[in-house]
Amino acid sequence: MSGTKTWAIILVIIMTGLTSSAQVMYKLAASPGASLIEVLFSRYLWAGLFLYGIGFILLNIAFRGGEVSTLYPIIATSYIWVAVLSYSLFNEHLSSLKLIGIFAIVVGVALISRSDKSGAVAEEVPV
Amino acid sequence: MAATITSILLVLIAQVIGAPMPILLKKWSGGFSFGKIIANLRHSFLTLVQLATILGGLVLLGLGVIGIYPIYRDEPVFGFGVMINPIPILCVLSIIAGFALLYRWSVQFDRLLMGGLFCMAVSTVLFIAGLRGGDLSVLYPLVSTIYIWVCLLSVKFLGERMNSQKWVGIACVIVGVALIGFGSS
Repeated sequence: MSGTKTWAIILVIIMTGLTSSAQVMYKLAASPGASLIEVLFSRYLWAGLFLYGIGFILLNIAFRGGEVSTLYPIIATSYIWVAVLSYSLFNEHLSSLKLIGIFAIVVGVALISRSDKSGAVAEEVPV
Repeated sequence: MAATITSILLVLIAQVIGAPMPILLKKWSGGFSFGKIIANLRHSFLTLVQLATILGGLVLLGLGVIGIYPIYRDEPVFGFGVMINPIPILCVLSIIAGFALLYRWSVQFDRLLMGGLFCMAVSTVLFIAGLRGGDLSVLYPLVSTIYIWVCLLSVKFLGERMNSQKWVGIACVIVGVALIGFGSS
């Protein structure tokens, strides 16, 4: 079994942080009432695209160090960053349902990232 | 708590089209090396035809993206439904044509990378179009099905192994994303 390197998992998590910030940048660029030209020349749009590009490169580097079926679901952590960022920046409501959802994603990502290491033999997996 | 059939279909199709993206990129990044690129560059010089194809491809891509923009901003586009409206369809066609032209040139570049980017672009456009017609509480659970598609494809095409712990983890992630969707509406 080839297994997935820890650095690849960390890279994917860093990448989700970058792409989530990029999404926040897009939201700032597409502020209500802004015209198409204003959006196209917005600093936020280009900053977002830049972050997205770096995220894309990081994802491809990460793919060299692990399995797609392990690394790809970890991208779901971006939902956590988006929820937290929109709570802190746009004062969007962080409901209890969302908090439970965030917790479920954390548990899921923890299980997935340890799934290669525990292998076929069942070990004690602290979550 | 509502979504039109059209938007549900659009979002689902977007996930299915987006699923090959990581598979293609995994194959691409596995064979990537700067040496290969430099060697390719040394052998290839751009003719006028190639340059025209690239420029045409980029222009078509840009037109498609600009046309999709009002949909992203949730502005009315002549007041038809998303499916009947010719503008988004033309934009998607324009993006496809742009990629087709870039693909022609990509003999020297890399078809795996182009394929991955193409899946990403088409699925994003369909996803944005689909998001207009429904609540996140209905659509987010559909969005998270992409993890299942990606894993199935990686077993089929990359020979990866799934185990029960991975499936349980993916189930947790899907539930989590769905709950965030429920919490958003």
